[in-house]
Amino acid sequence: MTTEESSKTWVRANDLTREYRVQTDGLSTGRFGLGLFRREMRTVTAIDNISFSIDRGEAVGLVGLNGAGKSTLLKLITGVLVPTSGEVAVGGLNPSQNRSQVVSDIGVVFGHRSQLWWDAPLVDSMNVLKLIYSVDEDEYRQRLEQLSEILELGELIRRAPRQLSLGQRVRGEIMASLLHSPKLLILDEPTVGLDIIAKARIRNLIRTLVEEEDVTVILASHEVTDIERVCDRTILIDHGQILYDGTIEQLIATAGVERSLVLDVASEAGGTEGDVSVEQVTVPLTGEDAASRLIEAASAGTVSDARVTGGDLEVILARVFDRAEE
Amino acid sequence: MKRSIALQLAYIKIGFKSAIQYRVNFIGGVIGLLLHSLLAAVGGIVLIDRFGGVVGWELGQIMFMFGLTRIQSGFIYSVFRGVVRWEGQVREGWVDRYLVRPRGILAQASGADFDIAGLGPIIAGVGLIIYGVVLSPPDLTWWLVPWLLIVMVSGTMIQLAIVMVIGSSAFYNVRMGSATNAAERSQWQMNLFPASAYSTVVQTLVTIGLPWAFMAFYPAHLVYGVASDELFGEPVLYLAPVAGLAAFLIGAWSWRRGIRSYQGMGGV
Repeated sequence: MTTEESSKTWVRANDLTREYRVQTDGLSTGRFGLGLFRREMRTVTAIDNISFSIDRGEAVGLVGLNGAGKSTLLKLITGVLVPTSGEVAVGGLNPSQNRSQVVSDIGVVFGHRSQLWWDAPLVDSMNVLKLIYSVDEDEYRQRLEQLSEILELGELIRRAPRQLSLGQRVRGEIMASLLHSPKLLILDEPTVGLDIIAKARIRNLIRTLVEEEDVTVILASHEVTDIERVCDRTILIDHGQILYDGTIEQLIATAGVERSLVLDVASEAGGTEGDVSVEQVTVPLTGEDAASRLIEAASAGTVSDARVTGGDLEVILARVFDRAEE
Repeated sequence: MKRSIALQLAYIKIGFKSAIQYRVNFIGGVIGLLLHSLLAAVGGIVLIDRFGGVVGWELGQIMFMFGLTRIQSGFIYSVFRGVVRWEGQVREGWVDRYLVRPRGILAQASGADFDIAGLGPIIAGVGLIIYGVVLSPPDLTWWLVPWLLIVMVSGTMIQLAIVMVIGSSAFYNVRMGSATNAAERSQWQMNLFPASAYSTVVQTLVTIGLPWAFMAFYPAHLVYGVASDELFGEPVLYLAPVAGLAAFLIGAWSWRRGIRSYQGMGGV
């Protein structure tokens, strides 16, 4: 990695592969119960020779079906797992060899697993995390106040997580992951189970972190709107391989889906005054003459409503993964 | 070092705060484990009192030794509770969380699952030591208290090492919780009576294999001025700290190997 690259690139994976050894014989005890003592194993490739890089201050969405390899990839980036082959670097360092140093700059939110003490006030969990990450006392107080304000937690930090709603608890989790001002924030399903207001709040916060604090974000989510609203770039992963790496716009374009604008155009029917008919006009949004077609359609009468069709990201993603299965 | 101690104290504080949220459970846990230790001791007292002692050891001396091991177990049960139930922590995915924090796994595992109920055996142990001292006063020498502190730490390290070796099997996705329970119960049983009351094979086992005899039996020879051990001679009487350190190093080696082999929990 060159000096120029290292200042810009924050996460880099080269020919990264991770295999697991898993038991194949399930619950069978085998002949004469010998299965209790002998296990048949096979190798499963969770991450299969992938390469990518993520720049500092970039928000990248990681999308894949269940079992695609997302969690393994996140564990390789955080140093929880060691690659079978290839390499991964975070801030120029190998995470499994420099675990302490690398994770000091990483904040992690596991949507399904809490890092808070269930029965102790939120602020007590923060006090322990302050010691774990060796955050200076003054900096800690300032950060706690700032995060309480941004996350609208206020007096809630005096309550135990078991007394909080799911949305409040997730905000507490995010506060815990940001307390040490990480350069890389990894979020695994952060909005799972939240209501629409809580989801929007979390998405806005992540965007603010990217734009104002230059935090690099890796967001793994099945919630397509999270990816659309938060991420600059999306990596689609399937069977441990990268299916697509680029922007959402490019993905829509390459998926061959035509987006159209449907206009409800109201005009006087048969030239009779007061007799209004509404016609639905569909204008394809692709092609060089899209603008002129749009103007022409809109000039035919009064536009009472307009909506975009055909660009539903969820449908596009399903189509991409379906194609990959074929 | 200062930071590590501050962190462990913070773990104890948050564990205590969490525990007192459920006061009945908190008091019940402490009292339950206190009674558990005391009832085992009462069983031993009834038996030993009938014979006036065991292989030359008086009732007070035996209760003194048993009290020492109860305090060590109390520390394991409270401060190192996370290591005792390590298998559960691995299955529940806690290890992943420890690995994404810039601290040692053992330090985090120990503190994060602090259990105040361990106070029960500690209180019982202190009570049994007082009972033992009243019945059979030890030789009062200047090194008595420092020696007992060393024994306390060494014995805790021996127990910790055994649960670490068993617990590290969980890194290979092997469930060994039953082995932890079996080791804990056997240790109780063995330490209720002097090791010299058992056969040569058992004495060898608790000296070399699972060195429980170093938790109280050998060190108590010095406390009570008993000259030497019949089977292994005088050197073993001084070796509690060496046994504690050696056991801990084996435990730490096993633990590190386990972490390197860890495949993670949860989905792919």
